[in-house]
Amino acid sequence: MDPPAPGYRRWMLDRRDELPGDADARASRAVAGIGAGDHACCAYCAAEDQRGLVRRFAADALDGGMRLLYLLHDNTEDAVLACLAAAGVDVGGRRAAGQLELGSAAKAYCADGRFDPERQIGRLAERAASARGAGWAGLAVTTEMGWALDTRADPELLVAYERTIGQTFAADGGIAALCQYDALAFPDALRRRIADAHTLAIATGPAGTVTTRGPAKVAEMTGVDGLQLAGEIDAFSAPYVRARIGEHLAGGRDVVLDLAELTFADVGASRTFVEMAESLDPDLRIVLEGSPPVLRRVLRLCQWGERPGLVVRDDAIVLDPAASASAFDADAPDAGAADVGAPA
Amino acid sequence: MSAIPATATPATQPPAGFRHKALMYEGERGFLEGTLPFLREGIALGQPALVVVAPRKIARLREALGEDARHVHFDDMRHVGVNPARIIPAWNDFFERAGAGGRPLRGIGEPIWAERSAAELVECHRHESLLNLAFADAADFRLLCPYDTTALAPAVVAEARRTHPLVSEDGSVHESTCFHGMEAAGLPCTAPLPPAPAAADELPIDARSLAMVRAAVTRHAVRAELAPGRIEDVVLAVNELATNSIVHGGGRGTLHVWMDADALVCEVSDDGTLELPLAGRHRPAEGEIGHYGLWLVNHLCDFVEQRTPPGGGNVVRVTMRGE
Repeated sequence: MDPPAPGYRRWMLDRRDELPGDADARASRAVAGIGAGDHACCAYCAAEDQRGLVRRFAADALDGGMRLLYLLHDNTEDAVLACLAAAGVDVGGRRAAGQLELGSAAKAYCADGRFDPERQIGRLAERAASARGAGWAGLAVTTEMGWALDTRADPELLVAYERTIGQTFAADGGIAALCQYDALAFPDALRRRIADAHTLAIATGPAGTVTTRGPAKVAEMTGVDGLQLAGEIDAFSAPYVRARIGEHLAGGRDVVLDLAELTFADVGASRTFVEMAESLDPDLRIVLEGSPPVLRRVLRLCQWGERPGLVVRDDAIVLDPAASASAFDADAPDAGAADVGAPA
Repeated sequence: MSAIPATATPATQPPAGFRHKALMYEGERGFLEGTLPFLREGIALGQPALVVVAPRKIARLREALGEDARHVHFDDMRHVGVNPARIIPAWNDFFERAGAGGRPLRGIGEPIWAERSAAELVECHRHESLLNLAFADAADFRLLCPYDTTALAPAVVAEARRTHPLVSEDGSVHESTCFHGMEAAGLPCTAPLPPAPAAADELPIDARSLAMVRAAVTRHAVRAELAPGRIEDVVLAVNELATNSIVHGGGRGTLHVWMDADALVCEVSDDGTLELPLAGRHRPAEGEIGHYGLWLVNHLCDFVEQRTPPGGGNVVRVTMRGE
């Protein structure tokens, strides 16, 4: 009999010490462009990538004039402050100005020992209003979600909460949220349902980062210089895709976009590639590899073909077949039914 | 072939501006009598000409012009004009290819034939009307639009007199006494479309539902047995219309999808206002990179109807015919 297929969790557990040295930088690139109106979650696998995600979210929120509320659980207050300070945040000054607040997630969510989603949503809405009342651009909130495991919160309630609060945030428009989930502590099946409840879901690990934005996926894999875009890019996901390409261009290198698994790209997607290519430094290029027929058709009809900053290749050139395995296969092997159920 | 009469062709002519002329003719013989002198004059003057008419008429013109036919470009109106909103882009392409430096150009375009449906006739008249705006600034463009008075309904011919400032009939040219003017050419089209059938599939459009919109159109297109490439085209087109609703139409809209005989019909309606009458008919300039949606829709779909209901809003209905 074959041994059971290893789940993503076990696969990552075996490799959590193999995170490449740039894991935090890569994780922070995945947060690019997340702001007011977004309800994002991240599934991190080690302290390095968690740091990268949090630092970028916090720095962007603070620089953008939002009040940042950090609800901690797994880390101590000192550890969080040290992490932000290492990213150049003036934690003392921001706290004194009332722009940075830290608190206990367990206390916030289960004030009387009971998780009450409606009460928490109401409180966050009040907090957002008071942040704006105090003159801040809005409220950014990031939470270490381990509290849900330790308080044995009902997973169904948690999923319902994440769904509802996403709609509340979208309607409010002044709240940015990043929910931090330990990929190795939460069961895979629950984690996937939670990811579905967010408008943007980032998974990081030894293999790289994969972000799901509606029907679009953006992956940055370990050892691959560039991005893989898959699924469907439309007006909902295009701004995020644009921000991610911008992150790479800021690194001063050509950006190779592997589009082989892209099934749909609207006119805005082509426009994004063309506009970004137009404004590039003359020695930089955006390279589209394996562009799907629909994208080539748009480029042709709009007469947006090749230009100095844009190279369109129909077929991805694969030099190393072993490296050609799709980033999106990482989600496929799954622990399955064994993982379904309440958090341990 | 007789030589061109010397008196009719001075070596140079003052710039004509845009001369948009309806040619009222009777039958094939009348067509040739009305169009051949116009083409020969242009050939003698070295002016590039594009003729977009039915294939049979192209054959007769080639035959009559003989050697000189090589100076004239021909295109099949049954192909170019299947969606009348694609005809102005074709003239624009001709301008880009041949009209550099304000070079005088000639064209013959016959978008209306007897078999055109009532819905197509509305769009053809709208196209004729919009031509007046599209080429108002042309340095020297003579466009002749033949109308077969023996084959077309009197109302169709009467409408041509309203959409053309000049009319050529019985061997003479005169200003149309009932031309509706330039202002009317730019007015929104308010004529109501036949309502969507009650059985049509209805879907709300907002930023989060674009994927569902595409899935619904794909499902119906598969059921309509469209070829795979055409399924991709109509999905792309409706996605652009829905995106326009989100970006320009107040953030939301409504999609209706249904089958009409063997054709797939998709209609997107919202609270937006289409302000540019030529939207989707001019290839947006480099700076207007955001105006490509309707342009693409016009090129991807077999038939496109845009309306501005009297109460406001914007309705775009696209049709993909089964093969």
